[in-house]
Amino acid sequence: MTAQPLAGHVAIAGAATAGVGWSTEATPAELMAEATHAALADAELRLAEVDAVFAVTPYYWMPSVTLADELGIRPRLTDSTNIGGASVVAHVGHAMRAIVTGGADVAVIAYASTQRSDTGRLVTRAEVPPYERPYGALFPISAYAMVAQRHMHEYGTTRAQLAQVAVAASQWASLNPEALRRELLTIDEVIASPAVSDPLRKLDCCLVTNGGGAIVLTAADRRARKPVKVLGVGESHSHCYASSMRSFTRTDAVESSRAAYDMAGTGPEDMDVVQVYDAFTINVVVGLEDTGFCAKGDGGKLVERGIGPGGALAVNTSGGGLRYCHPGMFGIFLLIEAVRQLRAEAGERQVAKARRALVHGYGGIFAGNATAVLGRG
Amino acid sequence: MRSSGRGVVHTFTVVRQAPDPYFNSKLPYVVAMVQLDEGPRLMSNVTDCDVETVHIGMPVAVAFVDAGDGLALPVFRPYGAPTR
Repeated sequence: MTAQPLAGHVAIAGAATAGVGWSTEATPAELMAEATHAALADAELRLAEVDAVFAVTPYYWMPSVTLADELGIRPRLTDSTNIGGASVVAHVGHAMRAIVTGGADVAVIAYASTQRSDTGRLVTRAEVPPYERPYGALFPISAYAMVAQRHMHEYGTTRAQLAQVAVAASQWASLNPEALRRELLTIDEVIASPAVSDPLRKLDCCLVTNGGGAIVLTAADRRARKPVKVLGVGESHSHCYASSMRSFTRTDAVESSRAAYDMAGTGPEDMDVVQVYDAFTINVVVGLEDTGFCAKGDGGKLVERGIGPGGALAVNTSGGGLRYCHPGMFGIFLLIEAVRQLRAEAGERQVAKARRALVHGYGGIFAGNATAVLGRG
Repeated sequence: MRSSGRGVVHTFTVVRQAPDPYFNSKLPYVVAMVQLDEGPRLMSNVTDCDVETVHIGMPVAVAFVDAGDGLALPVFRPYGAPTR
């Protein structure tokens, strides 16, 4: 396959997190700004050079405008596109196209939430669906539980295979000093954790934490310390709420990942590390299938073959939303971890010779899909 | 489109923790996607049965319950002979 013209002309030049933890005095705007300053320092770029701001968070109705204000800059491009947890991965594509076409020179993409300190629960601006709310579904857990139930029915995916996703995440998190849950889990512990919405249990669910992050993008031919190239991007949206899902087992990650692979002129077989949004264990099973790492229905078997350290496929090497952190939308952390792996800056959890990374973000109930293929060398 | 009100459970979950206090007294309860015989799917509850007997493919039929404020809420009950 041959790469398409947009591939590789833009790079992620810097990446940083801020305020990943259980308690904070900072506002989400302050965390986004802190992460931006750190990402710029990482990229060895100056704030005055930033002329495009991308941001998303449930806290503000114009997040990129809020961030620019917090930073004290007047960008010529601003974008607060919200497709849920996939937003910042989509922003990578938007920023790439802007930079390639001369609409921006240095773009910042940021996210932050202080939901743990504010409420201890998921903070979201998702409106109440009138045809779902009267039935008492837990948002968003019950919808993903129905995905898991249907996947088990159609493909024979087992409760133990779902648990194995959390076990692998715990193994990666034990190697990540920034992870908020570093103790190792067993399959039995996951299956014995409190029932929430069958078949999903507490340890099938992501954490509820604070945190933020930012990445900085610029032209790939600009001097940078350790640039990570954007080789391919893709988006696809199939529905908004669970009740309008066309399928409970197949997501538009199929379309978005195909677009990203095609742009990059590559495929899943070339990926060294995979970061796929794990709001719940079932998401990884479905996500690995739909981004092409196994046949449809074989996600559980792939997980069994090993997605932890030393396994068949290195998936969610930070510990993911299940064990690293989860401040409401995990997308920015997927990107930051991919950058750290590709730069060989991932410490004990480093995947040897990682040159290509697949990042897939899910937003809402498998509603928004955005995929990026990143690479070095 | 008119519907007979009959269909099957396409997928479901037994909710074990209520989203708010209103639902506490109902726990555990079934939230399901019901596939109507005519094609469309909708979210609903499956009521009037042991939650452990609910399964994918289970035949169900609509019933309207008084949800207060003049609202009639469509829910589903097992329909016909047990399938397992």
